[in-house]
Amino acid sequence: MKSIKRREFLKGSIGAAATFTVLSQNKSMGAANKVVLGIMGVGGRGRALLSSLVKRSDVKIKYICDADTRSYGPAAEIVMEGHDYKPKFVQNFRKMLDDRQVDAVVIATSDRWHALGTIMACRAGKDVYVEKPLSLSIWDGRKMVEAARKYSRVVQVGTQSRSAPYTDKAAEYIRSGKLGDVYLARVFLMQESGPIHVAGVQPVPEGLDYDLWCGPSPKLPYRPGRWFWRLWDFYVGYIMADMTHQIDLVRYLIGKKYPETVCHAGGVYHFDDGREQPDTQFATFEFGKLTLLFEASLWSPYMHRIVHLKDKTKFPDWPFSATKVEICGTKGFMCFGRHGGGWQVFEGDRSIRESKAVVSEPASLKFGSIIDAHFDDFISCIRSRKKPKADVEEAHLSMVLCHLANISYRVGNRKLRFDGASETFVADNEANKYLKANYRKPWVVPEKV
Amino acid sequence: MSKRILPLVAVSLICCNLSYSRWIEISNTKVTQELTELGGPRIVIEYDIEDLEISKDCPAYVFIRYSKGSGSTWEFLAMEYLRGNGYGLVESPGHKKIIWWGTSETSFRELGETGETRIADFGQLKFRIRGTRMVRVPAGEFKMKSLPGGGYDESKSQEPACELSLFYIAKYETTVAMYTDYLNEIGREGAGWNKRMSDSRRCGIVQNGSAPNFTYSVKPGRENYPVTYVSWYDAAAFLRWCGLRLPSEAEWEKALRGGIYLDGDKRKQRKNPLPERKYPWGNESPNTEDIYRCNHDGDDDGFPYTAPVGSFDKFDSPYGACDMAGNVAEWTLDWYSTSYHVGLDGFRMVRGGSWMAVPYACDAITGATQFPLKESSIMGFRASYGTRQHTLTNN
Repeated sequence: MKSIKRREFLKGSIGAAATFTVLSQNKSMGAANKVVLGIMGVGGRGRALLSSLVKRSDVKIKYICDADTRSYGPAAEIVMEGHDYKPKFVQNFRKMLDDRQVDAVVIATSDRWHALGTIMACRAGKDVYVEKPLSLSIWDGRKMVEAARKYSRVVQVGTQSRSAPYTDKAAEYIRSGKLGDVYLARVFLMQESGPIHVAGVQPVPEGLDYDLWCGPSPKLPYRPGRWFWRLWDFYVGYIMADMTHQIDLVRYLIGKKYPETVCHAGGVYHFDDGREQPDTQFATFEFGKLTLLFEASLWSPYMHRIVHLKDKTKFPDWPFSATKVEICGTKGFMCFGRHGGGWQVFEGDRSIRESKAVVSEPASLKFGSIIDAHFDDFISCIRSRKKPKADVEEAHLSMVLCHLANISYRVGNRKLRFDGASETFVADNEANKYLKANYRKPWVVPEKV
Repeated sequence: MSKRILPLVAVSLICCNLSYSRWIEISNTKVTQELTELGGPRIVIEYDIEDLEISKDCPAYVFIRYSKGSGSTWEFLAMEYLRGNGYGLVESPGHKKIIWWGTSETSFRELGETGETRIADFGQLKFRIRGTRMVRVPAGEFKMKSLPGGGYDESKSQEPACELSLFYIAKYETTVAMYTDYLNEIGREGAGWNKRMSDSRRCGIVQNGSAPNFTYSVKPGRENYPVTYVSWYDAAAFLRWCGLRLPSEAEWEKALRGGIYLDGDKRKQRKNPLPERKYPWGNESPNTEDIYRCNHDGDDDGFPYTAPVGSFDKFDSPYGACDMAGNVAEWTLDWYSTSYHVGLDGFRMVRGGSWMAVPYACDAITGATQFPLKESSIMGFRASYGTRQHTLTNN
């Protein structure tokens, strides 16, 4: 498996893409046909998704693709175990996109490839599942939405909580007015983390196409490990990469799109490891009469993720739940848990000055089953051509909030006004500089998708 | 010391597992009971071990398990109770290897009719003696993860281990036959086995009967293949059953590459010509010049799935450990976590590439992380013996 030659890659890449034909969108796909998939990026997350996909009899994994050929074995084994065939391995994902038999691609690469990978796949006529965090910038995300719409593609994002049945029930409860008028919502991501260590520079190992691996991000000297997670050019930060799940949940629950303002507080307070992204983030978003707060930290070992809750008929210890959402209405107060935490509504009894749970909706499902349910929706939408629950535009709107908070931090924790219609900051050149990521040619997210 | 040897009550209830491959052949076993005047009663176990490959550098690890009753339950015979030359590391072949087991520490002593102390129901005692080949890895310095791409485990010391004490590592990966033998002893209720193990192309262990009397058999021809579909817990349990353990990552890598001096830092007579070798045999790729040096992805090496252990024994490590490249990736003791995974950890490190790995992923340094419950056709394990060292874990 040779590295991709730059010229060969460019031949069919973004520069020439305007002439692309949408190859497979007209392909007839009867119910009996299996959806043919290619998986782009088969590290830890890609393998987790593969493990869910190979449980399905309605898909065929034709390709697995990774810039690092050494990841082939553990990924191929999952397909072999689940479906009893070996998928093809390609290092150059263009080969996968050129195959007319491929209906959809699953993008589980590092974040820097999400936008361009999705756009290129849409141009090639493929439907797309793309992992979160959706984008490195607000502009990236908007272009992904444009590509999905222009080429009539199903683009689902890995914000799985939207597919959990208990989420729908919570949203219905709020919309029914039983919680009263909602003026405040709080989102939490307070958890334990560690410093990012940086290994020494090494030669690029055999089997890794490092140029491709870096993709749109700067090609810095090779080091093993996750050193690149410290840098804005590669990553939105530990907090926002995960916070996008909770933000997406709260948006789903309260039904809001763009805030008028954002104001961030926090910074790199705890870790002295050269990271650019904050380890402490508090942000306030104003949506008319509703204020959304989020509180996030990476130094809070007393807060626990709900994923550790084994018994899904029970509820998290809410004060110490690392990934909860709180919706405050004039009648009731809802605690909602990501990762299968279920939800409860509490109401107060003035006469005895106490509050108690009046509704308790446990998740009653395993966390892994939410991933399966999410893929149910994806495959169903590929067949029906409907928008998935976690459509790319919904994920983009959620990711916008994450970017807004980060940009407020990057301009000195200033309060910023945002115009949702144009997705730009109002009269703020400094903030608007951060709307778009830096790209390394030729892997540039194009103006015209 | 005056000693009165009572008449022998000879019983030969030894199962040597000759039907199982890759345990070392042990023959002419005999168990007797002796009463000594001062030392109390003891059991004497004698056997022959004729494998001429056994040496100081490639010893047999011999362990004993015994049953007090019908053979339905078995226990590991702790080596601190033993004396003789026939248990633990046996460094030479020969007749009449002897093990003395002083039973004063045991719970089944009783008084005889004439008032003497004797071993209760001696006739009911059953013993199983098993041996497996190890290779000696002398103490000393070595080069760890000195090639690019070896990964970077943020949970551990940032200075890779470079000096280890003496330890031993299994010459071969644990085989289907060995694991089946284990299952027949501990798996009557089904523990340690999963359905996928019955796959005749990738493992080959069949479960027979029903609980609580399951038995296990090997699909013909699969005896010498490495066992697969074992979780980290399965591997650890098997090795605990043997009195062994998994190797740490550092031990595993040193066993593959060799130390700076192959005879150890005390002697320093044999300098390792390639202390930073990429593969057990040197730096040649696994498949150059139409020579296949290990079982990696594809059929060209002669094996579409796993290969019988030792199939590539010409390409073993400097200490003689076979199949450290390819065939099955091997569980290690080490945990893995990153700063991101704090609170979500549990990964274990797996080393050595596999029959589905590209050739250069079968090298000395490439590792994979897997959840400990993972049961995979590309993963197995091998044993290690010696004081646990350099797992470098914070857990």
